[in-house]
Amino acid sequence: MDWGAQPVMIGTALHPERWFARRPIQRSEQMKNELQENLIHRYLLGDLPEAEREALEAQWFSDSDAFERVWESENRLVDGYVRGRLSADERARFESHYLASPVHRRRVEAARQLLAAADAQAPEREMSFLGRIAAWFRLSPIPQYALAAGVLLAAGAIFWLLRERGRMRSEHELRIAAERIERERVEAELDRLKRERPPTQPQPQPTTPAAPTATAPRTVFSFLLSPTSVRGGAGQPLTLPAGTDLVQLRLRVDPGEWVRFEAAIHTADRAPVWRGRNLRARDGIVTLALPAARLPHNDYILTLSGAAADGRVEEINRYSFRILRE
Amino acid sequence: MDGGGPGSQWALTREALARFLAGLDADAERAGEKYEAIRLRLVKFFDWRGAHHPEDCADVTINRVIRKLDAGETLADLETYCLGVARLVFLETLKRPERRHVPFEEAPALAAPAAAGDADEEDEKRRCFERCLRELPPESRALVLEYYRDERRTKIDNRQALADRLAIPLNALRSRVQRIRDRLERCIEKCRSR
Repeated sequence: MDWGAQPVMIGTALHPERWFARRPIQRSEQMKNELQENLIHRYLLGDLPEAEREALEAQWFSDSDAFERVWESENRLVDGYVRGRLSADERARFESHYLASPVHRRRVEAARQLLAAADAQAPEREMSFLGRIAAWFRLSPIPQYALAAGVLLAAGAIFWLLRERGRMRSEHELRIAAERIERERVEAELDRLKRERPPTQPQPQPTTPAAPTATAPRTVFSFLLSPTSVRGGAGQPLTLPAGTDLVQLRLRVDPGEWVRFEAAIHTADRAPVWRGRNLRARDGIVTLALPAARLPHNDYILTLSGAAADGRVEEINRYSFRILRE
Repeated sequence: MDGGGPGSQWALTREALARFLAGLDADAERAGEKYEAIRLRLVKFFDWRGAHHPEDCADVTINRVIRKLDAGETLADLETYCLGVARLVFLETLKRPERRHVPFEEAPALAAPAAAGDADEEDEKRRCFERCLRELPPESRALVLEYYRDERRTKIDNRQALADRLAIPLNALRSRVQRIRDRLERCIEKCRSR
């Protein structure tokens, strides 16, 4: 039975008789799939009334395609939880119902490891030249004369690697230079804003220790973070030289449907450190700037969430990093 | 739980099993395949209902159906009958003391990164996962890793590309990968229980 061709319920509570209704409702394939996915998620999260649950079970139990779909939806639900992509309601329901089963808890653990391993795999098209040669050697019988050709190839590969290394080094230097220029631009912009600020009435002086003077130079360090598995060991190391005033964390994002972003930084033992709202992506990068003093030597987890135009907020990525002080 | 039903002394025999298989299909090979399919669905039925031991519950269900046949009853639709018995078995599991609700807070390893004290357990989990992944045939390993790579990040329709490359429909790919993932999960579970 083609499950995709089954009638689906639109906008009302599911009833078994309606679920099995004879007259199909004309809706787009995508909407049908989304409704079915939603129904299956409610089933897996224990959110369906018993009669509807039994109707759905009777269907997938006798239909192998429907069975595979429910199974796939379960995997998607688990993966969505692991990747932090469930809505707040689904996440709460997942934690209170689905995770009540020890079998499910082990499944989530396995999914966490599987997804981390899958994400760590380089796409095939990015396989290195040497990797391709190695694969060829593994798969092919090698006659003696091919070894000689292999030596020549290896020599060529070494030459290519050296050239690549040189190129990467120049790219690295270029990136450092670009970051230095960006830092100088930010500092110049800050100075300009300070100069242009209209004179204000004298304010009562704070009693706290004096802040650095407005003219004091600020040292900003900027880092580009990559999303990582939070449980996959130590995070990305970020070394802050002594005297750093401001840390800029840059996160590459796919803006997609998100109109703004929110970021929260916690220590690895979940103590809150910093939170930023109403962040915008510029050229696919969300930039956070926070005082370096807020980041002592420790392991941190940064959670980035996206807010859609309809007010929905979803976690997009997590980044783990370790601050090292020089 | 008694496989033949509450309070019974019934034991599964080769003849009773043969009668059950013959009820599934006259052809022995097809009957074997149908048996595997029904058992997998029963396991998933109990799993998705949240039973703590889905495999045991599935076996108890099958034993009870075989016992009915052994007693001389005629069952027109074995598959539907299995589902009905499974519902009864599930209701029985709800009365067992170990099936209590476990609040999320009691499973902190899922909610938060591992604390330092959990290091040994984390190491064991990682070792089991790596071992089980290595034990998969190379093509299965490559397939499952590629299938689950984060598509949002790579911006490539990996799955369609994979199905095209293997020259199989997307549904067949999905089914194949789910079974590899299932095998991996079972291997990890076995490894961790040792």
